[in-house]
Amino acid sequence: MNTINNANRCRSMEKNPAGLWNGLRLRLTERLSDHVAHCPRCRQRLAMVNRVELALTLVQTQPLNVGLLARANNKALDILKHSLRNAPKSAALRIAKTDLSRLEKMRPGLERVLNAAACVFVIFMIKTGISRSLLDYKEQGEAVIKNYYARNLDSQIFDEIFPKNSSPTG
Amino acid sequence: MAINPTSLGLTFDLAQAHSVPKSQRWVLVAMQEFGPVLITILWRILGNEEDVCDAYQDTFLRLAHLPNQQKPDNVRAYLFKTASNLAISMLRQKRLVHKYQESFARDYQPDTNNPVAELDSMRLQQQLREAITELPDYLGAVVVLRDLAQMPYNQVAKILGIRTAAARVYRHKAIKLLAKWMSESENREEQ
Repeated sequence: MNTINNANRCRSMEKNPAGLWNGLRLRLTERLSDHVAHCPRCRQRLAMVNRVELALTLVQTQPLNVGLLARANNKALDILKHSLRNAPKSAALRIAKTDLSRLEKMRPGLERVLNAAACVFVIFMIKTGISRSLLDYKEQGEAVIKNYYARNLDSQIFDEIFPKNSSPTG
Repeated sequence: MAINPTSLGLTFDLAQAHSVPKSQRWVLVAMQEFGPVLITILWRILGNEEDVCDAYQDTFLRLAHLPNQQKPDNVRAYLFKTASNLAISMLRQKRLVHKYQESFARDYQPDTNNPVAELDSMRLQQQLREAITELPDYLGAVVVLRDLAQMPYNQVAKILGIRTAAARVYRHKAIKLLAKWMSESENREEQ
């Protein structure tokens, strides 16, 4: 009986329209996760689908040999017509390398720019005295906190939190 | 300067090379434009460099030898469809050979279980590839283009000549089947 009820509930969840109202209230995903938590059948189905997704991700992230494109191009060009084989474009194809993603291509330049920007930022902080001011603020803040605790806590707890040999502040 | 037949031949070759008929140049353009993506897809489907090279060569061989050396209306769609079909056929053939070898090995050698954890991911990928070969062509093509070539649904639909909604439905069906078959094969292996 319980299985039938579960099956019906699964079916109703599948047929439930993802309306705007439900989407806005985020109710659908919430209800779905609630249902999955209590329905062993759906949990199993979800685990099975997750396994496929995992396998697909593994296949997608398999590293590709950089020289593979040139190798394949060479092999493909060798069976083409003589005129195509010796065309100027084919010379470039024979040494082509697998295309890197845009981010990978920009990486060295980006790293250089970021390093330079970090250096400029540090120099700017020192020159304008911002770092000194930040330290001052920190010390003043610590002093305020210490004064507050000194006024509101008894001396034993205060000594435990702020031991006497700790560096003097303020 | 003496002119001999060899030098004449070379000059002729060079002249011919630089005067590739315009009607054929699109093959090289297609190779330059779509080659890298095709290699990535083939690598993801096959996972073996030698097979990737073979499938890639076969794809361009078919493209260059179309009837009357005619350029397809949509070269990109033609290349992706041909490459994925060829790769899946190669996987099917390999699977048959593998099955035969497995049964042969089972008859003549003791079964050894390798408990190396690294093999798990390889096994998972292998299971996925085997399950993809079992999919009907129209579902397999969607999985290859959507999940292995990582194309958006509208491009997948354009290449396969179907509606975007149909591509989504096909992908959903394919994933359900893959999940079922992969768990079945996992259970079989565990027994």
